[in-house]
Amino acid sequence: MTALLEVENLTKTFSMRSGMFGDTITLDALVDINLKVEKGETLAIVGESGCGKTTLGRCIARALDPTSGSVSYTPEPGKTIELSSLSKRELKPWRQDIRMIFQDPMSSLNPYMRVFDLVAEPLRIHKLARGAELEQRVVSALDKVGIPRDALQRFPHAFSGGQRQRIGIARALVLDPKLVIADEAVSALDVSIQAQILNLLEDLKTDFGLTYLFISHDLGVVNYIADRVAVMYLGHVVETAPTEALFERPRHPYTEVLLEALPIADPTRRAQRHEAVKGEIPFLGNRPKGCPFHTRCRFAEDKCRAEKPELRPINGGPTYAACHFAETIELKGAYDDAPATGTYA
Amino acid sequence: MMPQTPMANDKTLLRMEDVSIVFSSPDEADIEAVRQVDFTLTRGKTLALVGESGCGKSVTARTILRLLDKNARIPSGRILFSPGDGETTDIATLNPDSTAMRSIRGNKISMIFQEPMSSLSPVHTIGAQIDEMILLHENLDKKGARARTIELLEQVGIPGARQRADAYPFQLSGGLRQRAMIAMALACKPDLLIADEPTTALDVTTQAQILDLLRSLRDEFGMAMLFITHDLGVVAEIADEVAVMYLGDVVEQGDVFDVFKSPQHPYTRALMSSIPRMTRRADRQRLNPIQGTVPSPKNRPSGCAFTTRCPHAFEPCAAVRPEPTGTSENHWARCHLLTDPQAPRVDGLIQPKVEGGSDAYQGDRT
Repeated sequence: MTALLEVENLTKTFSMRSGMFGDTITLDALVDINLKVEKGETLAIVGESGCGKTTLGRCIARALDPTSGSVSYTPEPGKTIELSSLSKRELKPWRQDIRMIFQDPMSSLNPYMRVFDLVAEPLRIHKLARGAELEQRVVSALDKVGIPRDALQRFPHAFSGGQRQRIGIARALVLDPKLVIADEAVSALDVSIQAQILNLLEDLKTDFGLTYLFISHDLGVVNYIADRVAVMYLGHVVETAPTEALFERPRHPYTEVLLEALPIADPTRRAQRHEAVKGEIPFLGNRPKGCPFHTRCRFAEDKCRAEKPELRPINGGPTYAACHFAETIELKGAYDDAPATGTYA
Repeated sequence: MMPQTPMANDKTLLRMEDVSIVFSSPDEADIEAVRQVDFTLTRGKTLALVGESGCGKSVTARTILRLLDKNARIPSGRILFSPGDGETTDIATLNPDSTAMRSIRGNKISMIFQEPMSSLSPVHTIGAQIDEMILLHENLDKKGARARTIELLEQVGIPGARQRADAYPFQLSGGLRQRAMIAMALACKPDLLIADEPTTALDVTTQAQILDLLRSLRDEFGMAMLFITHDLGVVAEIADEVAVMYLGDVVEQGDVFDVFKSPQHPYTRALMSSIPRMTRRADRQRLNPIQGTVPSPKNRPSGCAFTTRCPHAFEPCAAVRPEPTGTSENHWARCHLLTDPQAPRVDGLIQPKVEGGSDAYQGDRT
């Protein structure tokens, strides 16, 4: 596998004025993010509100301009494009390759546009098709996502949430993208609809060889759909690992906290639960010195308060964690019984 | 096994009997948002009301407090509330603005909502809002009320309660706001706390904290909870009993362990197979979602509401509404598959024997 996308030392800083006459303060939404997205995989970005997962997705899609660092995109071997430094005009052809799907299909579809025009819009913007070909491509994209032909002339309000999400997916698919960034794409949906969309995303991935960057706060969904997971906390990536390794044996205490907090639809597992983690996520503008998680971590020592841990391979990989004690601490995973073969012990 | 149907006994705190809720609008036909709902709430226990958007779970909860808009009415049914003084009140017959209703609302039954920011007053401090509640229902002066407020804020785990009482909602984080709202709901030591998606807007770690808090407060105050959620994970965490709603009908109710282990209504089973299981790759199964979408209440079949999407629907389903049928102790479902000897066989369901059907658990409504 080759890395389709490589993010290096990506930093995004927002400035904000506190109060009407106050000083300008800067918030580091992303701090030195390093990530690789392999071709054909589903990489999930997980974390709680404000951890920077959406900002990261937007910086990659260049819906936001990163403050520093690089995002390099390799559509084919030997051809690497540095997306973060391109001008708007230079970037345009690559926008076909990297598409986004958003959380709320109501606010991401223009209510005054008909389904046909919504899906045709990207083709028109990129001047890729017109006339009969345009129509054929729109119909085929809608077919792929299961929207019937007689819906072409309707407006978004005539559709249910699940169908609207399908239209949003068709808008992304119509340009034959390579990488799809799905930002909480199933979070606003009811469970039965969510399952339909998850199955659809999976089928589309197989059929069109897509790569997904799947941004989500729902670890149950992530365990189901992702090949690899990156966990974010306060603008840092604190752990990346293959999905099963992460859920079997997390290496960063925050990952364990997230897994512990996940409600599992099995009442018999209630007894196994610890008490929830104490405290709240600190304000981004007031990020703790040292390890960003030390204020809530049950293993925190002086070293954690003084020295910021780097994201590093644990026991030779493939798990990376940013914790001084990742090798030694015993953390609890999310799976029920003992590991079948002890692969990740 | 004995046939079990929703029965009332002295442990029953609140019992919904045949409650329908109809909304009228000037230019459309009336919509029956909730149809002949039955369920029982036991003292000190948590009943989770689970279902997808639009199934009527929030409307049901608001009806208990008579908080519905003017265009809603309750054409049939009783809401029997027995707070334990030997008296039973039928909430459905009370005038929403009456003294009797106001002495129940916020006092004996209180409610917390999904979004504390929109249910707390933005221009009053949280302390003032809780004080008001206490002054309204309890015989305390301002000073006493404030002391009680601070005590409550401490109980719900707000650090620095004395200072935080003077904070406005916007100064608090989502988790702390939800805690403040819980404190307000508990101010009069209610017998029943209705929690409408109280953790849905929160992050998972905050959600876990609030669930812990609600569990310990329930034990401490000995109150019953009606917990409304769409999240089966949360149900598994907090509920003693679960009632599943679909399109205005309660289709199944039972002990939480029993319902998760052996769901008896096809809708419950479909919901369960729609959620990704926490399993390793090798045990991963493709999700098996329900086909189609929930019809509008206008197009609800007169029989079982789930007929149009049910993979097992057969002859009587569309026209005849199934009766609640007990399948084990404290567990019942409304489904023809459980009573009709001619029904198709479905794995995992407790169905009548094919010959004669004499062994059927023929539940009757009481």
